[in-house]
Order: sequence, then structure tokens, then C-alpha cells
Amino acid sequence: MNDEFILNFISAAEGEKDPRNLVLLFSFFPNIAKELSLKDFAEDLFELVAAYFPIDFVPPKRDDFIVTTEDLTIGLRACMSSTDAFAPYCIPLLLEKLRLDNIDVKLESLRTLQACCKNYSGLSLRPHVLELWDHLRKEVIEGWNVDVEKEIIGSLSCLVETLERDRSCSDTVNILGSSALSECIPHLSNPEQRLMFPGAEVLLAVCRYSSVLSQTFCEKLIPLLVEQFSQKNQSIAKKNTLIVMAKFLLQGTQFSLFVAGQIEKREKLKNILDATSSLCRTTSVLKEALPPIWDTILKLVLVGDDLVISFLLCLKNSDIVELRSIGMLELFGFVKVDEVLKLGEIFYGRRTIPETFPEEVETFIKSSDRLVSFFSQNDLQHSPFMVYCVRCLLVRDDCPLKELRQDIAKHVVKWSLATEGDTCVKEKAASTVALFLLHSPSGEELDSYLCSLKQEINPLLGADVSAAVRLLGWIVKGLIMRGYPQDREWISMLLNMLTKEGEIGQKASECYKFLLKDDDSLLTLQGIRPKTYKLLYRQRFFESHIGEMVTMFNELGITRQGLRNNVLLAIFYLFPHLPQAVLKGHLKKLLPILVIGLKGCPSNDAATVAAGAVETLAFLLCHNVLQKLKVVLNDKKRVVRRAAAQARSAWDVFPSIILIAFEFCTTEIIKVFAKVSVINKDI
Amino acid sequence: MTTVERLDNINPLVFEKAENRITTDSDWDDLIYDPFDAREIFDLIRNINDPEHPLSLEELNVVEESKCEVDDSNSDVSVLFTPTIPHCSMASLIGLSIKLQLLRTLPSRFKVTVKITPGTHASEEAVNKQLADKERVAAALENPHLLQVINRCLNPKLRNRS
Repeated sequence: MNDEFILNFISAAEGEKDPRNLVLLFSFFPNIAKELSLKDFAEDLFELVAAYFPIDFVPPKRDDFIVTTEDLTIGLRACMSSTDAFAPYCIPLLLEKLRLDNIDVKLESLRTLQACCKNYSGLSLRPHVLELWDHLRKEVIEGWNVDVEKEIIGSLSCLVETLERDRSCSDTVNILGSSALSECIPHLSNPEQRLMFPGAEVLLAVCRYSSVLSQTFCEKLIPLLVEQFSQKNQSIAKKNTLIVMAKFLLQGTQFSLFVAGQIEKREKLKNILDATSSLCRTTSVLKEALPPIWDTILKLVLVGDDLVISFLLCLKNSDIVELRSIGMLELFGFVKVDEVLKLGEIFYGRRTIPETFPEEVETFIKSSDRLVSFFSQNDLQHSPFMVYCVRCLLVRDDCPLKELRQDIAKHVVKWSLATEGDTCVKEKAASTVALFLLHSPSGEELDSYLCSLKQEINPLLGADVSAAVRLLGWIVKGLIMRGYPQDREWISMLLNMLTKEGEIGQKASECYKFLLKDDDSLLTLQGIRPKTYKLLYRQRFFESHIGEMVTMFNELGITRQGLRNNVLLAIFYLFPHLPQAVLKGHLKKLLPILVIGLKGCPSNDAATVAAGAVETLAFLLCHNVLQKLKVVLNDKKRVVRRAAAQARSAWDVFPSIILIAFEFCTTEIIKVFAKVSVINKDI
Repeated sequence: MTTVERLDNINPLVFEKAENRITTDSDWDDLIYDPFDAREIFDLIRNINDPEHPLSLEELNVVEESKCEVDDSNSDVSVLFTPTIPHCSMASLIGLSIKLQLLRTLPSRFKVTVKITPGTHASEEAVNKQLADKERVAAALENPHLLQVINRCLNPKLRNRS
């Protein structure tokens, strides 16, 4: 019954030409081939469908049933690969078609081959393997078509996979492997030439699904590549070598080759990483080579972390921010706390903390309780990343942090007063103290903390002056930003510093630079201000203390020019951060200082600052006068109006006249006035 | 001033200057209100300098008293100016100077209209349009170079400094 059916089926279906019918045929043909026992009819059955291979079909223009070439191709492929029994006829047919020059035919044959490998058994493939390998290898070497190459690689992998499934085929696999090695190693040794990559791809394809082969290949190739890397001098050679190495590494991890037990492998990996780190200057190489190496590392992290650190040393010199941030996050989960900090060091260990960190990093640090307890217990070296961590931690809203806050703050104070180390870091540390003061909840805690802080600072003002004064400046800033009720004594402390001789006075006046500055990046993270922040703190500070500062200036006679300059500069530094309306109100007392002070401005930067201040004030003055004149222009008497009009015209010339009057002005100030004379926008 | 570029009008006609206004008794009486009149407006603009020549607009007859009109009660001022030649390229600059001077020296309640005397310039419509448009005037005055040139016209003292 079986045989009869098959015979009749073949005769019924033979010579079918209608595409719609063919689609139908292809859909149930695989079932027939699979379910029924074919015995002698396998060949005939195969020939039935093989006649249509490869499909060469152009759909007619008016096609009601819309049969596409794609449908037919896929259907046929399924048919040809449906059963193992077809193997002896199918493979030779495909080989024959592969030898043709037509690219489409080649592609189709390769795809069909892949489909076949999935369904056929290793045994049936075995006789043909070497022939196939021979041909495919030649195709890769001689071929110029990228698609064909891709398909070949796919086919090789499928082939080996199928062979692997069958225990009895292991010797075939080995033969294949050694043949591949002998063929491709010469190519790998010439990284400047085109065949390096195809060679590598072939090897990878062959060992992809076979652990035995992978092991052999990796053992042989990775040391070879490392050697080569250190020997070759041209960058392209190095680059290619590295990329191929990375691919093999990845392949190795698929089969967990680099497990703790196998110590030699770790050594090798370490060498590779050292080689990579020396290459890190060229970022383009890194971009391509690092991701596979990185994946390898990730798999390894569970096993040993010193490798991780070496790898990260590579990244330290690179500028690829994305890679850095990705790496960091994934590692955080695995690694211990001090590792986290070490990681941070490596990633961000440069002199300046970048203004924004990747969001995920911030979130991680903020939410990490381990970090908090770690900080409160240990004595840490200061560095940019540490400071950054502290900032993140201090900004957290929740309770557990409260008790630990002061401990953390102690660290920061210590860092800002340290005698060695980077000034930038110390500056950031000092500003972190301000941050801390800003974010602390009000109450006894804060008061007592400030008392103790005061006691700490006073003696220091004798030792490392600049650091202590700077810290004082930041403390004052933190306090005025939150409108702390007892800030007066701190402010007076800073003010008195201005009158001290030498370095203290100068540093103190420099503090005024940032005192009122709107430094969002320093004091708030992600632009969110804390509840304690007082919006109008600048105006309040200015209004309450400008009188004092002016009096101080006036009391210092001409004999103490240096100290006077300190006060003058301190006042001037405040100007840019205040709205003009506020300055206008104090114009009367500020102008005389301006005039007196300008005579004795010593250094050039002081002059530039003064120039800026003068510009503001001169502009205001002009504005004031012109406003008043405008009223007079509308007077009822013509003579009065005439005089006013003349005065108004004269004031267009005002700045030039000032120029003539103030002969002793420095060049900076002259430039400023020249600028102001063009700003006559009083319409 | 460089004379490398050809001046538009190398040899213009020069006119006589008017005499200064004579004050009357009523001018000094604090109780009487002196209305704005044409002569007052003329006084405001007659000393504006021409951008090219060291002569005032009055001397070149670019502005005349008869062409200045004032309506004090309606706060309206209208000035017609006559460029020296029909293709004068400085026409809009002169117009702008006049406008600016009036805007500065008149109380802000006045609406100032500056136009070219009809029939005396080739592109009078375009120039009139420019001068009437507040935004264009403001934009022009934001140009520092232009502003410098105009200030030199309005303030003879600045002429000597460059």
C-alpha cells in the first residue's frame, strides 16, 4: 500500500507547472517524505522536487493568487531537507550547483544546505563532508561576494553542529578541524592581508558548536595571536590581531574554557589584557575590540576579580564614555564595596570630576546602603570619585543617613584641609561641606556641629592658610544659602580675614568670588534644590552687609593700600551676581569707592574685575541721569525744554568726557568706557 | 575722513543758516505754557551733520522750518526732509538720524513721523516705509557700527575722535 501510494503520487505530481499547485505540493511533500518509509523510492521522490531546483520564477503581472518566488523557494527548501534519506542525492546536487558561477544559485544552494544539515544526521553527511569542506574553503578564499561568504560561514557551522550531534562522527570533526587549522593559520599570521578575517571567520564557524574544536583552536591560536600582537608594529596589524583575538576569546567563554581550575588560561588572558591596555591610546581600535573582550570579562567576574581590575586599567586611558558607564553598572552588582570604590577611581580617577555622571551611576550610588556604612567606618584617601560619592550620599532624603552624615562630613572636612593632593579635589571637598550644611536639617545637631567646626578651623588659620580660608568661605556660603540664623559670626569671621596681612587677606577676598555665585553644578545635583535653600539669599546678604564693607573700606586709610584693595575686590566680586535694581539702591555709596579705589589697582586681574564693576555702575549712572532728563524734556517752558534737549545730547557724549577726565585709569578701564559709549540705547 | 570713495554729491549748494531764536517776555513767565511749534522742532534737528560733508542739514537745505509740522495737543510731529540729489544713497541714514534725534530730545508722548519730501528721491517710498517701521528702526540702531556713524552726525564733538 505504501509503495503503491508513493508510485502513484510521483506520477500524479510529475511535471507540474502551475505555481499555485506547486505551492500546495511543497506544503505536504515534507510530511510524505518524513512519515512514510521510502525504501527504494527515495531517489525518485527526491528527483520529483529536485527538478525544480533552483527556482527560477517570475510572477505574471495579473496574478490573482499572488504566488511569490519566495514562497516557492522556501517550500522547495523544506522539501529537499525533509528527510535524511535524501542525503545521498541532495548533497551531490547541491555541490554541483555550488560550482556554478551564478550568485543566486550559490546562495540558494547554501541556504538549502543549511536547512539540510539541520534535519539530516551526521552519518549521512559524513561521506560528503570533506568534499564540501574543500569546496567551501575555496569559495571563501577566492570569493568576493559578502553574502556568499556569510552563507558559507553559516553552512560550515551547521555542518559541524550536525556532525557533533553524532558521537560516531567525532573523527570526521577532528579531521575537519585540523584541516581548517592548517589552512587558516598562515592567513592569521598575516594580519595586514585581506584573508585574515575570512580565515578567522572560517575557523570560528568550524569551532562554533564544538567544544573540542574550540578548545584546540583557542589553545593554539590565542598564544599565537598574543605573540603576534607584540611583534607586529603597524597599527592595522595590531588592530586586526586584537579583534580576532577578542572573537576567539568570546568563543572560548562560550564553552567556559577560562574557568578557575585552568590556571594557564588565566595567565594567558592576563597577558592579553595587558596587551590591550597598552593599546588603549587608539580609541577606534577599542571600540571594535572591547565589546567582545568585555563580555568575556563579565563572565569571568564571577570567578576572579583581579582580572577585572587589569581590564579596567585599559579603560582608564580611553575616552569612550559609554563603555565606561555600562561596565561600571554591571560590575557593581558583583563586586565588593571597596572594589566599587576602586572601580570608581579607575573610571573617574582624573583630576576633575565631570559635571554630569551617567544617571544610572548616580542612582546606584544613592541607593547603595553598603557604601554608606563603608564610608562611615573607614578612613579614606581623598580623591575625585570619593568626593563625588559623598555628594551623592549627602543629597539623599531618607533617614538612615542622618546619624552617619556627620561622620561623612568629617571625612570631607579632612579632605579639604589636606596638605597634599590636588587643589581641584580640595576645592570640591570644600564645596561639599557647603552642600552638607545646606542639606542638613535644622536643629541642635547642626548648631553643635558648627560649634565644633569653629573650634577646628581657628587654629588652622595659622597653618595651611589658603585651604582653611577657602573652607571658611564655603561654610559661609552654605550657611547664607540656607539663611542660618547665627550666620553673622561666621560672616564677620570672613570679613575680618580681609583685613589680615598677606595671603590670608587675598584668599579671603577670593572667597567672595563664589560666595554669591549661582553654582548649580556644585551645590545641587540634577538641578533640584533642597528645602532649606533660600531663594533671595544674595539680596539679603548684600543688603545686610554692604554697609559694613563700605565702612571698612573707608576706615582703612590710603596708607594701607593692600588691605583696602582686598576689601574693594571683595565688593567688586559681588556685583555680577546681583540684580541691577539692588545695586541701584546703593549707587550713592558705591560710586565714591569706585573712584578712590580705581586709582590704586595693582595687578591686572584686579583691574579686569574692577572694570567689570565699573561697567555696571557707569551704565546704571547713565541710565539714572537719562531717566530724570526725560521728565524735564516735557516741561512747559520752552527755554527749559531747550536746555534739557541740549543736556540730553551732551549726555550721549558722557563716556568720552569721563575718559578725558580720568587720566589715571588703567587700560582695561579705558576699554570698558569705550564700550559703554556705544551702548546708547535709551530710546 | 578718507576721500577714497566718491562722495555722492561732491559739490552741493550751500544755504544760509537761520538766526537763533529770539526769546520774548512770555518765554520767561512761569505761568504761561509754551506750546511746541515748528521752529522748536527745526531747532532740534537743524544742527545735525551730514554724514559726508562738514555741513549741517540746514546749510544743505535738507531740512527746512516750513517742512516741520507739530500738533502739540495731539502729540504729533511730522518732518519732511529733502535729500540733496534724487539718488542720494545716504537718504535713509539721514532720515534715521533725524528720527533718532527727535526721539531722544522730545518727550515720549510724541509720535514722530519722518518722510522724504514727495518727488525728491527715487526710492522715497521704500525709505519712508523703513522709517515708519518701529521694529526696523530698532533693529538698525542695534547695529553698533551704524550707531557710531549716526552718533557722529548728531554730535559734532565726536567727529574728531574716531
